[in-house]
Amino acid sequence: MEKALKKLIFWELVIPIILLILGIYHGLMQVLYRVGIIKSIDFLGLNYYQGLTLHGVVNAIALTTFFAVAFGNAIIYHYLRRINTAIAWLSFWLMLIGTLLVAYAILIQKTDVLYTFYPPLIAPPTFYIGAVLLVIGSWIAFFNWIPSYLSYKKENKYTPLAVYGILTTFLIWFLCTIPVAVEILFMLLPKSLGLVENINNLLARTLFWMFGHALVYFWLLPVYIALYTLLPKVISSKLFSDTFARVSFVLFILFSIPVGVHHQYADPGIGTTWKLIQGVLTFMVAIPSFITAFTVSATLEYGARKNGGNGLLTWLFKLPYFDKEKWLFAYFISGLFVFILGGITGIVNASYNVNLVVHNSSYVPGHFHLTVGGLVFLGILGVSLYLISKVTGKEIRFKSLNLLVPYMWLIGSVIFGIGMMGGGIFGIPRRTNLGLTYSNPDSPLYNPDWMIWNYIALVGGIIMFLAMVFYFIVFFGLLFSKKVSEEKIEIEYAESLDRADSKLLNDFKIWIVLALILIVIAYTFVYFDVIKSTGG
Amino acid sequence: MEDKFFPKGSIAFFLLMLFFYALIWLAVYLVMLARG
Repeated sequence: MEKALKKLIFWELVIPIILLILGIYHGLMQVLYRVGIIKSIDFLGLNYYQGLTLHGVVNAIALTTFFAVAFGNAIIYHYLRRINTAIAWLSFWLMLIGTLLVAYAILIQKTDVLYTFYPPLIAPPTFYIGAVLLVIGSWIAFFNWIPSYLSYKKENKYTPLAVYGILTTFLIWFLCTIPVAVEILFMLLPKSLGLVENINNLLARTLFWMFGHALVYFWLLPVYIALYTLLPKVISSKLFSDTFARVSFVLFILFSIPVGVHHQYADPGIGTTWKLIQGVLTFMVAIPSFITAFTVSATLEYGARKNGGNGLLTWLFKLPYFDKEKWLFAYFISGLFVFILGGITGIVNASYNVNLVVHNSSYVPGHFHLTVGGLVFLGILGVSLYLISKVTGKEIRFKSLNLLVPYMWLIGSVIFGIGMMGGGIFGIPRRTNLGLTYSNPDSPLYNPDWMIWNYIALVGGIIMFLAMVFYFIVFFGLLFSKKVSEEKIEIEYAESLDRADSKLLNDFKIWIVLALILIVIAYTFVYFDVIKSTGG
Repeated sequence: MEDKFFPKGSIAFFLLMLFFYALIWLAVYLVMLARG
C-alpha cells in the first residue's frame, strides 16, 4: 500500500509543477504586454486573455489543488497510518482528466474567460466539465480521509495538529465549492451547451465569490500546516503553541466563507448593509492570520534564542537564512516576509470605502501576488521539493541554486508588487492588454505617466521568472538524481510548548454548525437582494 | 528555557507590524480623501 501511495503523491506533486512551466511562461508574457514590449493581440499563437486564463488556472487552481491533495494524503498516512489507496488513485485520475480537459479548452479551444469565468463570458463545455471533475476528484480525496480520521478517533482523543489542519482545509473547500458547483452545473454549463438562453450574471458572480474568497484559505492553510509542523523542525525549535494554531484553524472554519461579498463592493444590486456586514466579517478572518503570524514568529524566536540569539529583535539574525542544508527555511521565511506586505494590502482591499481607490485596478493582482504568489507559492514549491525528496529517496543536487530561488522570488515579487500596486492606486487597470492601449504610444489611450509603474513591474516580473527558471533546474535535477536513501512518506514535526487536549480543539462538529449559521445569516439577505434587484 | 520562555521579541515584532499596517492603510485612505 505504501509503495502505491508514494507513487501517487509523487505524481500529484510533479504533474502540476510541470504544468507550471506554462503558467510561469505567461506570467512573463503578462509583464511584457503590460509594459508595451508586446503590442499585439497575441504572441506565439496564444492571445492575451487566453494566456491570462492559462496563468490563473494553472497557477492558482491546478497547482494549489493537486498540492493540497498530495500534502493531505501524505499527512493522513504519516500520522494516522491508514488510507484507502484505491480511492486515493481514483481521486487523482478524476483531477488529472479534469485538468487535461481544462487545458484542452484553454489551449486548443482558445478559452479566454479568465480564472473567475464571470458570465456573460462563456467557455466551451469542456472547460466547465474539466473544472467540475477537478473539484470532484479533490472531494473524493477528502471523503477518503474521513473514515481514516474516524477510525483513528475511536482509539485516540488527540487529533494531530497537521491532521486537524488538513481536515479544516478540506472542510472549508467542500463547503465553499458547493456554491460554485451550483453556478457551473445550473447556470454556466447549461448556457454553454445552449440549453438556456439567459442566465443571471449577478447571481453567478455572487455564487462565484462565495467560493472565490474561501478559496484563498484553501490555498493558504496547507502552507500554515507546514509552518506549524515542518518549520520548527527545520530550525530545531518547538512550536510555540498548539492551542493558538488550532484556534486559528477554527476561526478559519467560521469566517472563511461568509465574506465573499467584499469582492463585490462595487456591484450594484446588493444592499450596502450586507456589504458592510461582510466587510466586518472579512476583518474577522484576518484574525487567524494574525494569530498564525504571531505563533510562527514566537516559534522562530524560540529556535533563535536556543541557538544563542538575544536582544529584543536581534535574535532574527540567528536564523539559518543561508544554510544550504536547511533550504526549506529559506522558502518559508521569504514567503513570510512577502506575506507581511500581502496582509496589509489585503486589509486595504477589505475596507469598504478604501477598496474603491483600488477596485479593478492593477493593485488587486499586485496584492494577490504577495499572498497566493508569495507565501502560498513559495510554501508549495518548497514543500513539494521536500516531499518529492522523501518519497523518492533522492536529494537536492543544486543546493546553492535552490537557496537562491526563494530570495530571488522575494525580491522579484516585492518589486513587482510595488509596480502593480503603485500603478493601481494611480488607476492602471487590471486584466487589460496594455500593449494595445495605455502602454502603446500609437494608441489614443496612451498614458506616459503610468509607464514607470509598468517598468517597475517588468523588472520584478523578470526576476520572478528567472527565479522560476532556477527552480525548474533544481526540480528536474532532483527528479533525475540518484536515490540515496530509503523512500518514505514522512512529514517531520517538532514538539509543541503546549498541547491542546480540549475536545473543542480536537473536534469539528460545533464549528461546522456555527459556520453554517454564520453563512446563512451573512448570505440569505444577499441572495434576496440579488434576486430582487435582477428580477429573478 | 522552556518554562521561562516569553516571546517578547515576537510581541515587539507584531506591534511594529501593526504600526506598519496602520501607516499603509492610512496612506491609501488619504488618497481616497484627496479624491473627494
